[in-house]
Amino acid sequence: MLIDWTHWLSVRHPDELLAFLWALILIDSTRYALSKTVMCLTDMAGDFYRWIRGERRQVEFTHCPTVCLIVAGYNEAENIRFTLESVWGSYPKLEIIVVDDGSQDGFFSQALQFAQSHPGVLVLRMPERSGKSPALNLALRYSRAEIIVAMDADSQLSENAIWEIVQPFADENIGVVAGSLSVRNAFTNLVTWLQAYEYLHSIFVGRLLSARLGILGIASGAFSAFRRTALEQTVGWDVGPGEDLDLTLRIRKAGYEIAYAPYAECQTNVPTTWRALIKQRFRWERSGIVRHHFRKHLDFADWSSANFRFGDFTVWFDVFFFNFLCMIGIVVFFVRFFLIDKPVDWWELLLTLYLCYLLFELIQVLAACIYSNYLRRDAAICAIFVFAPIYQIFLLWIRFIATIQEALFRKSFEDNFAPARVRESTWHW
Amino acid sequence: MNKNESQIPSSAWVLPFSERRRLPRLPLESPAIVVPIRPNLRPDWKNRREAHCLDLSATGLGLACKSNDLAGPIVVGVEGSRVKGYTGLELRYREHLPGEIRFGGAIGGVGEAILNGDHLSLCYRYGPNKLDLVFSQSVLDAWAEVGVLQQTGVDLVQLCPRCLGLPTFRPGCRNCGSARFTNDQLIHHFACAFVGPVQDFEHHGELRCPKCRTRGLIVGRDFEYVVGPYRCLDCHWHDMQLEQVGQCLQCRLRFPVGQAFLKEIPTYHVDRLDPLVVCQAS
Ligand SMILES: [Zn+2]
Ligand SMILES: [Zn+2]
Ligand SMILES: [Zn+2]
Repeated sequence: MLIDWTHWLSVRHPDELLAFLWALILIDSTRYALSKTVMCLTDMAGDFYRWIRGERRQVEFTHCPTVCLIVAGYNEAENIRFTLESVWGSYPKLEIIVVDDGSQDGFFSQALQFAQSHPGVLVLRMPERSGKSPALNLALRYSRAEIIVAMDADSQLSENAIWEIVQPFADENIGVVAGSLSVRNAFTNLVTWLQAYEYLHSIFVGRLLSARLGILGIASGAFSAFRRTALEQTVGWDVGPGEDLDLTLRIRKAGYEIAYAPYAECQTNVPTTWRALIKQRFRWERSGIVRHHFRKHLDFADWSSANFRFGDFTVWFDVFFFNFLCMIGIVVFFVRFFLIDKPVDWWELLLTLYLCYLLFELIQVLAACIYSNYLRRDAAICAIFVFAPIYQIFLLWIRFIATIQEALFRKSFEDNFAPARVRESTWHW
Repeated sequence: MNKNESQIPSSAWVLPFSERRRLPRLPLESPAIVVPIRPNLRPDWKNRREAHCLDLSATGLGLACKSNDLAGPIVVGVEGSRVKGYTGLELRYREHLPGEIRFGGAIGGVGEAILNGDHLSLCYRYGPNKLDLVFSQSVLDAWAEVGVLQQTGVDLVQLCPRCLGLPTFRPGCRNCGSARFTNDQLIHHFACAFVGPVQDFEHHGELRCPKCRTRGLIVGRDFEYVVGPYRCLDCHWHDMQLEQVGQCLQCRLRFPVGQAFLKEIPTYHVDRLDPLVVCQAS
């Protein structure tokens, strides 16, 4: 089959191939693979220059504001102790607030037990499950620190994660710092391995690039830090799902910049079955582009508005173009390819596309490994990259269906992420 | 309380002295043992004397003994068919007869104080503000050693870790121990996820959300009440739970209950010689 393909390739005119692959080469690879290469080369050149001058690059934490870590969770009694142990005592001026969102599994008593033996831990409780946002807002009210770090109750922080995530706040313009997420159960099965690769690829390096380009528009709820004044200006979190995206965009609107701390790593468990993964991604995608970029925060793209900032527009445009238009483009391509054009050499074409994609993917793998602090682990995760194109297509279809569902039926407002009384009461953007 | 006393409601020990005096004096033939009390309140067991009872009233006891060079307070133990137990005696008279010496006295004195049921277990003492035994444990142990008292159990008291004074315990702030604290009444507005104190919502006689400015909020439909954590008015500490805080009544020290000094205090029992039982039975 491979020989067939090489033969097929050798008789193709380069123009023919270019006509088929132009979108991938011009759009996708420019945005992701080539720009990452440029970023890597620039950084390596910088390192080389410093090395020649005899300067050692050393990790030094110079900024040390007071920090309040908010851990909100629902029915996480099993994990909360490990989570708290991973953070307690890891930073000098740290207060910890645990919020129990009306759990029924002893989460509250587990957290209280920890607080009794560890000073500086406050445990709060919502009377009933109310969703993550009010729990975070409750904690915000009782925090006093300059920097608020929010993390999930089922995640754990790597060494120095809090030190890393507060460093960008030395710049007064920074309102939010996104932390990096890695997958703790990466090698459980194929599903988690693929997700681990995806996190490494799109969060660890992807956000590094977005932050460099100034178009980072999300700080994950699982681990991100906020300047207190920025949170006070936006009066905390709005109703979720997607409350992390929403808050990041609102803080941007308030005039702050978003930074990324790639080495502030939070380890989280990802879904272990396809079913759970699909459910999670439907939730994420429904509460993504349509709900926030196209409806609630469409004013990012409003040139006539007095608040219009070009920087904000690029954030919006990046999502609009690469997450929405490209998605539509790819869907249209597949529909045309299989239903209308039906070329006889279809598998040769697809294989070419696949290999081409794989080439660009390989560049990104190299980028991930260059920046990695845990090279052995990350290289092992990257070994799955040959499946990445198929996985990406799978995610793309989920995004496509979810986007349509949200656009037509506002499905994200039926999501049980927020309880019924909250869903019914809030504005259906 | 002495066990015997509590079992017999008409015990002599509950009657005032004037009433006890009116009760008749009875002849009584029972062997007795006389234990002198040393100045340090311990029993002088070596110098104990065999004796026998002559008569008994609710206020005193008459005894006869072969030899008697006793002076000062004594404890008398009597064991007969109708009567059994110990009592403290203050010697009042002595009469030398051929072959024996008769002596007697009033029930009371130091011996009575030692045998008093109230003094054999935990007792609050006002002056030094202490929760402890009236007589030192070593004194009571000495009496237990010779069989007059029996150790029956142990009480546990929590004392001030600084001065061993008596504390009170009450809920208070985990940080500073203050008893001045309040709870915030909060409102969770469903629509915008805002959580804030009720007073921030009150606006011209109606409830208005300070975040999203929605007016006329109705409980249950638009919002729910949330009870915030306790807030200490002295040090601004927040906590969902209060700590049991001890406060010493003597040196004013505040300390968490876990830091209290734990003291074991034994309790004792004595079989009391109850004259009234004898008097009424006859
Ligand atoms: Zn206090
Ligand atoms: Zn509101
Ligand atoms: Zn004291």
